[in-house]
Amino acid sequence: MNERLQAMANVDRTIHEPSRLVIVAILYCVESADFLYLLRETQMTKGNLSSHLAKLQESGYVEIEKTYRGKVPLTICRLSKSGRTAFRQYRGNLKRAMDSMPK
Amino acid sequence: MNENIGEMPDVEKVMNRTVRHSLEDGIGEMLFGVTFILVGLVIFGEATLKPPFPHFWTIAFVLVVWAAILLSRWLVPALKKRLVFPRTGYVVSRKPSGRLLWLVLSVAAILGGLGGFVAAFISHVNPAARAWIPVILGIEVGGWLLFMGFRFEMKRYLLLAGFSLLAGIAGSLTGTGADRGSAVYMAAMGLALAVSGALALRANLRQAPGPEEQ
Repeated sequence: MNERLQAMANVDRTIHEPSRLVIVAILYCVESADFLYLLRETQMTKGNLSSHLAKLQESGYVEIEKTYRGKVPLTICRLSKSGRTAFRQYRGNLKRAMDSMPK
Repeated sequence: MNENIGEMPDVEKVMNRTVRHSLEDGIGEMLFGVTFILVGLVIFGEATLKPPFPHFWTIAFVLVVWAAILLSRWLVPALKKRLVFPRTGYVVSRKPSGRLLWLVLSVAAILGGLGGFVAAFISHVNPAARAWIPVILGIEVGGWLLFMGFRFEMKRYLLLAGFSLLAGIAGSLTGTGADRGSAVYMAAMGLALAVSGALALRANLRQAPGPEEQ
């Protein structure tokens, strides 16, 4: 396998999906964010956001904590340590793949 | 951001937007403004009033800066939690890593030192040129605002950068000396920051819908 194909093959498919990439990029910049914040920032539907968060949680990239602020339910999401590492690696691999493209 | 869903999103843009979000509400800016005004008052007091005891104004300056740092750690998050987050969603900013914190402190120290050195040099070469110290302040603060404005695409920071330079020049042209001129600059810049922050907060609260249950 040549270098370009190798770099492409190394790209994490869980993160590479556009909607999940937006979620992970947002969570990478903050310590934690609640569901409402992610909803506003990504402009996804509630169902769509929930399913992508579930997928990321399944992969161990996102930790989800359900709690209350007063009487209002609060879903707090944060990127796990492996999620942060995976995002950094994803960006590195994608850059390498792009750099090895013919000009 | 919705237009990006379905095609590859611009990750840098998304990350910049997230950081910008924490600056958009103007709360931090208001606190900076109040700090500038208080520092301006201390400088003005030092230039015009007799201190009740030696080093009074130096102590006052250090106290104002420390109070601002401590308040910013407590008051800014508290105001955001009360006013902004119920509308836009709760978010906890990342604490800067030790390396980043040292980098920021080093850059601030270098800029402060450089400003002090330039001011001392000017005073030594031509004491009358001390009157231009407010311009140096204006350039330093304006430069920082310009960097932040371009880095996070904050148009009002670019306007504030321009105002900083103008306020510096105005402070120098008052002809009342370096200290009073600097006090004028700090007060004017503080007022501009506080007003800009208050307007941004009002716009932010109007734009965001009221609290809703998830």
